[in-house]
This record gives sequence, C-alpha cells and structure tokens, in this order.
Amino acid sequence: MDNVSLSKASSLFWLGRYAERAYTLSSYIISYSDRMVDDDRTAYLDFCGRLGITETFADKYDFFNKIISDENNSFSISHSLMLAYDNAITLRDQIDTETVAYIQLAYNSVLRSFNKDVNIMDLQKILDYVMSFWGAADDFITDEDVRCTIKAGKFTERVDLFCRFEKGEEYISSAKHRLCNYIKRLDKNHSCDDLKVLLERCGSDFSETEQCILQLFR
Amino acid sequence: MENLKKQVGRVNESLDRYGVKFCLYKNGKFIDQLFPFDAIPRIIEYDKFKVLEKGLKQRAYALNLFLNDIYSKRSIIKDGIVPEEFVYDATGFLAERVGITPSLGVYNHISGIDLVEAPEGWYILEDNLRVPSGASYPLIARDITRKMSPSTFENNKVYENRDYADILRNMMDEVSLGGINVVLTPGRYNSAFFEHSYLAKKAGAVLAFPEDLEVINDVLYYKTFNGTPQRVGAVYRRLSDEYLDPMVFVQNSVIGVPHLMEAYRKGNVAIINAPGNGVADDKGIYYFVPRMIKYYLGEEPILNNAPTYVPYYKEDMKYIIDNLEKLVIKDVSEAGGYGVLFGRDLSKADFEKLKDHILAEPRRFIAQEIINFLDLRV
Amino acid sequence: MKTYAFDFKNKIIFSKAIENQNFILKCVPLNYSAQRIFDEDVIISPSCKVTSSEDSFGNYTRAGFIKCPHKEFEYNICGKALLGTYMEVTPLERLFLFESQMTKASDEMKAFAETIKKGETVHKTALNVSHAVYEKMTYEPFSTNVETTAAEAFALGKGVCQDYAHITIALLRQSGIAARYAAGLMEGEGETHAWVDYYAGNAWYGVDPTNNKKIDYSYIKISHGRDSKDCEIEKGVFTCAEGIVDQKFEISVKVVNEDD
Repeated sequence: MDNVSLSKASSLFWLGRYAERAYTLSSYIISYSDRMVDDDRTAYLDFCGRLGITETFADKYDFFNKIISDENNSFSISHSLMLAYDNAITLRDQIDTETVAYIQLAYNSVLRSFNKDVNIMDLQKILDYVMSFWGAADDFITDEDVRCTIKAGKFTERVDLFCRFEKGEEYISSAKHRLCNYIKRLDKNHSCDDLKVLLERCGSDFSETEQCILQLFR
Repeated sequence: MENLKKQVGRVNESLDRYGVKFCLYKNGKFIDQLFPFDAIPRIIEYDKFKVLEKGLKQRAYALNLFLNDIYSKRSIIKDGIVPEEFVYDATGFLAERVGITPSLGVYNHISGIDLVEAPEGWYILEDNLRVPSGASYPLIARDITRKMSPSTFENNKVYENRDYADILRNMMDEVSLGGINVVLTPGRYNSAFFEHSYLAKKAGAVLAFPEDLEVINDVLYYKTFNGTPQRVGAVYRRLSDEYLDPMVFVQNSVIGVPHLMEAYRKGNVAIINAPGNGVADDKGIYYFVPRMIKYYLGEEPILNNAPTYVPYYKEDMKYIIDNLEKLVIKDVSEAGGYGVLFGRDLSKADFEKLKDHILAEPRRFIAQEIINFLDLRV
Repeated sequence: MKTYAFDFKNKIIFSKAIENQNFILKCVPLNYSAQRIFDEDVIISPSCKVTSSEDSFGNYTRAGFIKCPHKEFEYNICGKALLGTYMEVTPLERLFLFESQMTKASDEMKAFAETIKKGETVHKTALNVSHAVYEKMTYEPFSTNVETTAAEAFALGKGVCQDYAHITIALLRQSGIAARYAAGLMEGEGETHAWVDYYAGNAWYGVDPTNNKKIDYSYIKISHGRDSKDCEIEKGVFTCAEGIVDQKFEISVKVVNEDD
C-alpha cells in the first residue's frame, strides 16, 4: 500500500467493520422481529445478551426504535452507519466517490426513515445500500491492498458476530477462512502468524483473536 | 432552460447522495449542511466571458509578480508605486518566507477573485490568494445538472468547466520537486472537507492528514502503512500559514507539519499556495492592484476595481470625509465580512465616531462606492 | 579585537518521558563584520540527526527529531568569539521600522515616547530612550513570561531583559528609528540576555536598556529579528503518552575574555 498511511489503513479496516456490522445486525433484527410476532415477544433480550447490551428496553417497540435509530446507542444501526460514514469520507481518494455515496445513502436512509415509527421493511433499504457498497468496493477500488483492508475489517466483524449469534459451523469456518486470507496478505511483518491457530480455538470468544488483528492497524 | 427549472429538486437529491456538504459550528455543535446550489445559471455570453478570463489572468499574473517582488527586491516600493507601510503593516506579510524562492516562481497557483456585475460592467471586489475555497462545487454541480437536464446542454453551448481537476493535477506536477502530490487537509471537521477529499480524488493526489506527513532531513514524506515513506513533491495545503509548521509559526498547532518550512526553504517541496500570499490579498493592497498591472505588465487593467479610496492619500481622505454617508468603509485588519460599515446605516453618534476614527488611523481603512448589484435575469 | 570563550548549556528536564520531539534551535552565534565565531561545537542529547540552515534574518538554525522516549533534552554550544566594536555596516531592512507582534505601542507608550528628549544624533536619542526605559521599569525576575508583549510589560512597570528590549524597540520605532531585537550572551556567568540594535547612518549599533548602557564589546550576538519571537533559542513540540508534562530548565552561560 504505497499511498496508504497507517491512519488510512485503520480507517479502511473500520469502514469494513462498521458496514458489516450495520448489514449483519440489520438482517438479524429482521429475523428477531419475525420471532417476536408470535409468542416470543421478548426474544430481543436474547439479541441483547449476545451483544452484551446492558441497557433495558420498555418493550420490543422501544427496542426496535433504539437499536435502529438511537445514534447514542453504540450497538445501533445508525451508530454503525455514522461511523462507517465518518471513515468513508476520509477515504474518497482510495475508494472512489461512488463507493462513498452508498454509505452516504445508507446513512441518510436510517436518519430519515426511522425518526418516528419503525417499519422493519425500511431496514431492507439499508441492506440494499450496504450490499451495493460492497459491490462498488469490488468494482471501483483498483488497489488490491486497499480492497483487502476493507475486507479484513468486514470479515473480522463477521466472524465476531457469527460467533456471538452461533451462526453455524459451516458459515463460521468459511468466514474465518476468508479472514485469514485477507490478513495474511496485509501482514507483511508477520505479526499475526498464529492467527489461524487462534481462530481455530476461539469458540464463541473472539476477543483474543481480535486483539491480534487490531495490532496490525495500530 | 425550462427543463432545468423542473429538475431543480432532483439536483439537490443528487447533491445529497454524494454528500456535497460544508460544515458549520452552531452553538458549539458541529453541523453538516448540504451545499446550497441554485441550478439556474447566471448567463455570461462567450465574448464577455473571454474578456473576463483575460482580465482575471492578467490580474492573477500581476499579483504573482508582486509577490515575487515583495519577497525579494521590493522594487515596487522603491519606485514609489506602493507605499511601504501598506506592505510591512499588512497582517499577511510573512517575514519568515523572505529569501525563499518558490518552485517556478509561482506564488498564487490558485486565485479566488471575487467579482460582481453592475449595470456598467464587472467589478473586482477582492482577491483571495491564501487558501481559496469552492472549486469543487461547480464541478460536481455541473456533473449533476448535465445528468438531470441533458437538453439544457444540448440546446445551449455551455463552456466546459470540468477540466479543473486536470488543470490542478498538471499544475501540481509542474511545480512538483519530485515525489507524489498530496492534498493536506486539517481534518474531517473542516468546513470544506468535502472539497479537500473531492479534489484529491479528482486530481489523483493523495488526501493527507497532518499526522500522515513528516519531514526527515529536510524532505517531506508521506508515511505509509507498509513502512516505506513516499517522498512528497507538491503539497496542496488547505490550512492557513500560521498553522503550517509549529517550528516556525503557532507552536501549539496540531494540524501543522513540523519542519515543513525548512523543506520548503531547501527547495525540496512545493507548497500550494505559497506561504505569505496574504500580503497581496490584503484589503489595503487591493487599491494598488490596477497600478501593479501597469507597473509590472505595462498594460491597462482589463477589469476594474470597485471605486476605492484610501484615506492615506489626502485627496481621498477629503472625499471620504465629505461623502461618508454614501460609502462603505472597510477595516483592513478584519476579514471575512467583518469590519464592514455602511455610512448611511450608522446613527449620528456612530457616524461621527467613525469619522474621527478614520482621521486618527487613516492606514486602517479603505472606502468604496456602494455597487448596485445586477440581479439575475431569469 | 578581543577574544572570548563562551559556553552555553540548556538542559530541559521533563517530569514524564516524552517522545516524537521535533525541535529547532537558534543557539549558534552569528557571524558578521564585528563578530567571528570559531572552534564552535554544538552537542545535542539524546543524539539525533540534525540539519543546519539559516532563517530569513540570517540566524543559524539547527533542526532535529527524536523519536524514542526520553526524559531529558540538552543542548550545549561552546566556542570562541573574536569581537570588534559592536556595530554592523549593512543596508537597512526597512521592515525594522514597523511594529511587530510583540512590540505594538500602546497609547500610554506613545505618550511616554513624547516625553523622551530627542538627541542631536540618532545615537543620543537611542541612549535617551534606553535610559528612559531603564528609569521607568523595575527589573523583577518572573514578573513576566515569554508571551508578555511590550505594552503589557509597560503597563505592569516591571519585567526582565526581554521586556526592556521590547519596550525600547517599540519606543525607538515610534520615533522613526529602525530597531531590532537581539538575543545573545554577555561576559560573565548567568543566563542568556536580550538587548536592542538600532540603525543610524548606515549601520546597526547596540544599546542595552536592562543595563542602561551603549554596547561596545563583550556582547556575543546569537540572533536578531523583529522581536523575541524571531529569536526563540529553542522551540519544540513532542508527544507524551502519560498526559501533561512539566518542564524544568537548567541554563548556564559562561563567557570569559581570553585576553585578560
């Protein structure tokens, strides 16, 4: 990465993480919302438990409201998109204006759709925009290392969330495999050589592995 | 044009998509705002535009010669064209750059010259030669309006403005002293951050934050993730002189690059625009620009200043005192629209106070005739 | 001509370890017609790569960067100076006729300038101004700091050599005499000193308002400029992982006449 500074590499990594967090949590919220239609009205407690959210919610509506649009709640979709946006706009020269625009659109849509009533279907728009962002990232970013850094962020987040939500061995190991590949490419000083071992034995606790990866961007 | 009018709402939608923003601080809170853009153009006919273009080039060129002169021989002072106090008292005069010759002798690579149209023609209101801002907005606005209303552009011959980024890139390459080009932004929360990142992208330069740059052995480098520093040949800096280098200017500046001025002095990096340009866009110096054009170029100015008087000259002082109620008075030490007073709007007491103030400190003020702006003909 | 040996040391002790220190020093004495420096040696510790240059006023600069954590920073400059009578024949830089950041005259100072008797020569006027400042002010260490302007010190009525020099410069410029700030070393032991150069005829001459005298020998000039800001001996920025850092300075200056 000849023209990427450490601070930008770190922004790329976190852009990937926050975009992925917004995407995967949005899709989980949609499926938890489905569970809560019938008997399981407090399924959101399970959601909170898995993420370690200690805040209490009055009911599922209060939960939806805050988990989607409360910018001050660090687990909310709008918080993730805000931080993705904050990182993206500093990276226009690396990732192209079109790529930045999809994060901008996703962030605009969460700000506009959710200020009053929550309609779960509006989350679909966010999924669409973030998915388009990944498409744009693949298409418009010419520097392979730059692309890898965003993807390293994406899969770091994905492994973490999949572990927390016990997504299933097949998905988790696929995500771990891809994460390993991206990190290997970037890790020219071999500071993450034991990443594979760490990932194999991490179970549902990803934090040790995460620390190892974060060192790369410090 | 009818078609363009219908599309105005969608233009803003598009500006939103691309995050065309500028930022403000209001009550201590940081607010991102969409850049207000009026899609309906002010039409300048080709012939008139060519005159404007020629006049602006002439002016920018003379200002560049002035800067070269002021920071070296100062013959314009010795020849009595510009009184020395207007130079040495100007807040933008930067003694710290005396003796440094910029790459190719260029000081004002980018000039922001403010114009107004009056019934009798164009007037220059002021020159901005330090860190002029705003070039990105017409670029992106043109891109968008062409998409929204292609027929407007099919049916009218519209002068292309989108080559600005290429010109910027070529200019940076030309003045570069070897290495990559960077746009140095003070940060994400700067009011013109959108512009910094957009121009960097468009001109193929690296967008750099202050912490990404360092000077080693009098050479400026961009610090990279993989550890090999990239030499920087030209830096388009979007922060003002006083924050540029804590070793020379404001010491507690955290947005500067230590030793940048030394790299500049040794001729290892081009700084765009050159530090010290403030002496040429000073409100007091403005009065002398038409004289500079004659002095340096031996030409008559193509574009006129707004009629201006400086109380430093006795005959001007008399005119100002006699006609204060129809003039606008500007304090030369203030900038950004501050320190501007209209004689006709002042109370009796303030009016007299201003008069006394001008008499006591003639160097501090300039006076101008009030110009009747020509409104847009739609 | 007289030969002096000088030794100037400044040790900065930080209360916590600092790193990424960028510094620029203007600590090497000038060379000009009445002052020749030889056998000079500059030692900076911790040792680092240092680049040399001159600023826009012709003062020598040494710049460097120290990355590793350290708790002390020291520079030591020693050498010999061959001094003639204090004066410098050179064309006038007219910038020195104008007010600078630290030397703006307040209304009180302007009124005070009116009360000072003009001499028959520029030299006499300059001495009168210097004498007036000496009489008006009380020398009191720590009563002001490096950011104190001429007007502030004048209002306070006390200060140190920097303030005496600033006020004298402001008053001289008020009376149309070009003046510049000079930083350097005086014969004997103590600290760095500041005085004033004024322009008469075709040359700069020196006056020391703190000591109420015209300068002839034994003043080694390090740098000169519009005011103290152009002559800061050490300027630096650094980072510290542990928060706010206190700095302690240990300065020593020794200048001896070798002819005695």
